[in-house]
Amino acid sequence: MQQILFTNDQISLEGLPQVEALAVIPLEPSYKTLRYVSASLFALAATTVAWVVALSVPGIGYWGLVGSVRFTLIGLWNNIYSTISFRHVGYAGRVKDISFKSGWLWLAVTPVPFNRVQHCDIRQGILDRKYGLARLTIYTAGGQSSDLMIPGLLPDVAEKLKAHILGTTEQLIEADPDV
Amino acid sequence: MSEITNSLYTPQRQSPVAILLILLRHLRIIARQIWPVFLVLVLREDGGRNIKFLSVLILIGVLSFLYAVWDYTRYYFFVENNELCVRSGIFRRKKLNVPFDRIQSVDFKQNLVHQLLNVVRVQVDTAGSKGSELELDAIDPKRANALREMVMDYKRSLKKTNEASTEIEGEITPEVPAFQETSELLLSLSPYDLIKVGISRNHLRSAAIIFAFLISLADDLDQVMGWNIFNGIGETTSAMSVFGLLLFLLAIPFFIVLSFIITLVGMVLKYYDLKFWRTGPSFKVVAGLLTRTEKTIQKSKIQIMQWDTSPLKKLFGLFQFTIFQATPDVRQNKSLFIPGCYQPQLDQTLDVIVPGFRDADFSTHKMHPRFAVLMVVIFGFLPAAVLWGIARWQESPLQWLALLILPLSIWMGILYQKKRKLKIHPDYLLSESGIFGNTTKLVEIFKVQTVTVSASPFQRRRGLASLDIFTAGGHLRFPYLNEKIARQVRDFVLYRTEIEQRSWM
Repeated sequence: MQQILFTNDQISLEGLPQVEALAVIPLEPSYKTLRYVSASLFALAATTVAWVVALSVPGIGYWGLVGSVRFTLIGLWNNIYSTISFRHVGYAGRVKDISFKSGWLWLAVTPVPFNRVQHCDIRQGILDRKYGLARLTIYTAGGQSSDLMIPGLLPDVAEKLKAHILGTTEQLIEADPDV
Repeated sequence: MSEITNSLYTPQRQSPVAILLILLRHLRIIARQIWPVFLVLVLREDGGRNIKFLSVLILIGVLSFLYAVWDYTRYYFFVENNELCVRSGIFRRKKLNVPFDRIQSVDFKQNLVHQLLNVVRVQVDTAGSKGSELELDAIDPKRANALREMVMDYKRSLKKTNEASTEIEGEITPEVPAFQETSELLLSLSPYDLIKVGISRNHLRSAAIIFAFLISLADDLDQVMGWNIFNGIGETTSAMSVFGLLLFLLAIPFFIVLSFIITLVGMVLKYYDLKFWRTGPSFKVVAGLLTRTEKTIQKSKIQIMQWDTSPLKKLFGLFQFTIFQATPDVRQNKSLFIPGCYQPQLDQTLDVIVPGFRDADFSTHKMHPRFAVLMVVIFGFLPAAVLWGIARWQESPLQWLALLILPLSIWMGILYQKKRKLKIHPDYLLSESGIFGNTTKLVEIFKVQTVTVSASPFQRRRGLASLDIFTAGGHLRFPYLNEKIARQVRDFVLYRTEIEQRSWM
C-alpha cells in the first residue's frame, strides 16, 4: 500500500483527539419554543383532519375522538421529548471537523470532516423566520443519512459557520484539487 | 488522431439502425400501457370489433414508425470544446452539452438487435444530478470506442495536470500511458461456471418472488377478465385439510424447480461469457447473451467491495463479488456485479484494487450477544408466541409445526452472533456477517465520509453503541459494539480521513 505524506507509526488510540471530549455549544433557547409550537401545530392539524374525516364519512364518528386523543398524546410526547432532549443537543467545531450531538433516548454523535464537505446550505422555514432562527445543513457524499443538519442557530451564526466550513474546505481544495 | 476520432467533431446522426430501436422502444412503451385492453379485445370474440382493433393497431404502428423516423432525423451528436453535445427534439428543440470532465463513465450495451446489426448503445453517466445522463441509441462500435477514448484521454490529461500542479511528494500511481493501455483479464465465467453459479443462487428467495409475481398476475387477470382465481384457491386451502397440506408441500418443490429454471435462464441471458477486465486505472465487466452489457468503473471511484458465499456456493468454492462505486445518489445502483468467482480470482482482484489488503493483520471485534438475543426475541419468540396462541385457539395439530420458528431463530441467532465481526486495520475496515453464508464488506478508511456513533438507552445501560460508517458508495453498519471500541474506531477513522492527502474519489 502506498503511503503519501503519512508514515504509519503506531498511534496510541487513547491519544487520539476524542469527539466525546468536546464542549458542546447548545442551540438557541428560542429553538425550544419553536419545537413546542411546531409539535402543537402538528397535533392540532392532525386532530382537525381526524375530525373532518370522521364527521364527513358516516358511521366512523368515533374515529374523531380516537384520532384527537392519539394526536394530542403524540403532541404532548413531542413536547416532553423536546424539553428533555434540548439539553443534550448541540454542535461543536474542531480545527478539522464539526460535530453534531443529538438525542436524549437515542444518543448520536456525527462528526463531519471539513475535507469531506460537498456543500452547505442555510434554510429558514416559516417558523424559523418567526423565531429568528436558521438551520444549517452540511452535505457530504455519503448520502442523505450522513448529512448533518444543525437547527436552532441565529442566522448570522449560521452564516459564520457556513463561511468557516466552506472557507476551510476551499483552503483544502486549493491544497489538493482532487478533493 | 484517427479519421474516426476526427469525424466526431462534425454533427452527425446515429446509425440508421436507431430508427428501428426507437420504434421498438416506443412500441414497447405503448404495449406496456395498454396490454390489458389488448387481452380483453383478443379474448372477447366479436367479429365486428376485430377489424376496428386491427386498424387501430396498424394506425399505432404507422404513427410510431413516422415518429421514430422524425425523431431520428432530428437527433444529432457531436464533440465540441471538450463537450459531448446532443441536439434533439421534435416539438421542442433541445441541446444538451455534457463537459468531458463531468462524465463519470461511458458504458456500452448491446441487445439482440444491436448485436445482429453490429451497433452499440452508449450510456454516458455524469457526476451531476438526474436528467443529465445521455444515451445514444445506436452508433457504430468504432465510433463509440473512439468517443470513449477521447473522454478518457481528456480526463487522464486533466488528472495529470492536477497532480503536477499540486506537487505532492512521494509516489504517484504510475499510470499506463494513453493509447497503449494493456487490458488484463482478471476473470471470465465459462458456461460450466455459470451453471454452478445458477445452481448456487438463493432459490428460496426467488421462489418467493415468483410466488408474489404470480399472485399479482392473478390479481391483474382477476380485475381485467373477471376471473375469480382467489376464490378458487381459497376454497381448496381454507380448510387446512390433508389435501391442502399436500398441495402446499407439492407447491414448495414446484416453485423451487420453477425458480431454479428461471434463475438459470436469467443467469445465462445476463451473465453469459462474463469477462472482467482491468484496463489501466479502470475495471470493466462485459457480459450477456442477447443483451451484451459493458460496464466500467474507475479504480478511484471504488468505495466498497463486498464478497458473499452461501452454503451451496461454498460447495463449489464460489464467491459473489460486488464493487460499489461513488454515486451522487446512493440509492442509484451503479455497482459492478460478478455473480461468481473462485478464491484465486477473488484474491487476484483484491490484490489489484487494494494491494496491501490480503497481507494486513486485523484486530477483530465481535458484536455483543445482546443483539442476537434481541433479534431472536423479535423474529423468533414474538411470532412463536402469537402462533402458539393461534394454534391453541384453532386446535389444529398442524399449526404447532409453526412453533419450530423459535428453535430455528435461536439457531440462526447463534450462527449470526458467531459470524458478525468488525475487523480493523490502520488502512481498512472489514465487516463480516452472515447466518448460513458469509458476507464480507471492505472499506478503505481514507474513503470514509462520516462516522456516527449512536446508542439507545438499552445499549447505554450495557455500555454498547452502534457504529455507522458512511462512504460515497454505501454504508456499513455495526450494531452493538462495545461503546469504547466504537468511539475509538470513530476517532481513529476521523483522524485518518482528516490527515489524508489522497482523494477519496
